[in-house]
Amino acid sequence: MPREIATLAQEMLRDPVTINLERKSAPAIGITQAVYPVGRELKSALLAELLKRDIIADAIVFTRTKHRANRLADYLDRQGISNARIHGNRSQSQRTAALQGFKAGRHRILVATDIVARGIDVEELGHVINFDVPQDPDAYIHRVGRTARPR
Amino acid sequence: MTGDAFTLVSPDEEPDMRAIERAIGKPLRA
Repeated sequence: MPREIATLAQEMLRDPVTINLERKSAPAIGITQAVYPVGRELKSALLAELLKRDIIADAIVFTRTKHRANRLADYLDRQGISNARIHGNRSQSQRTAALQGFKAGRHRILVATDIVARGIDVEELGHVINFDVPQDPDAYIHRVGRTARPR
Repeated sequence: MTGDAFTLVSPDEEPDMRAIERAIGKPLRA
């Protein structure tokens, strides 16, 4: 369970009990996982460059915080890259519109934070991009699993 | 299955990346 979810459960529930039915230890076999070492200040430019090469048809891009999601989405807007954002500071109607726009192909990129992304139905994506490295390995596995699709 | 996942790693995120590699049991960096 991600650290943020565990903390939230401790805050909101009385004497919660955890039942761990399954623990996925690795992303599905067949997923290509690539790592790009890059200075923090160059991440946005690198991402824009990757997206402009047209090898990525659609992608969900994960950031660590709501603030970073906003900054990245604004940057992509300025670069002319169609995107929508979904995070905890967005209203339900904004989240719904972003998700529908992404699924319908009106937005090529969905910028998201982990907690909100956990509750949305987006699978079999072309690409998953970890703009920020998740602090929890389980979050990484969950993120990367969204790109798994049958050959 | 198939799919592509990219991770952008800045120097300060290296410890988190190493923890992920330990968890999935394989190195992801060349």
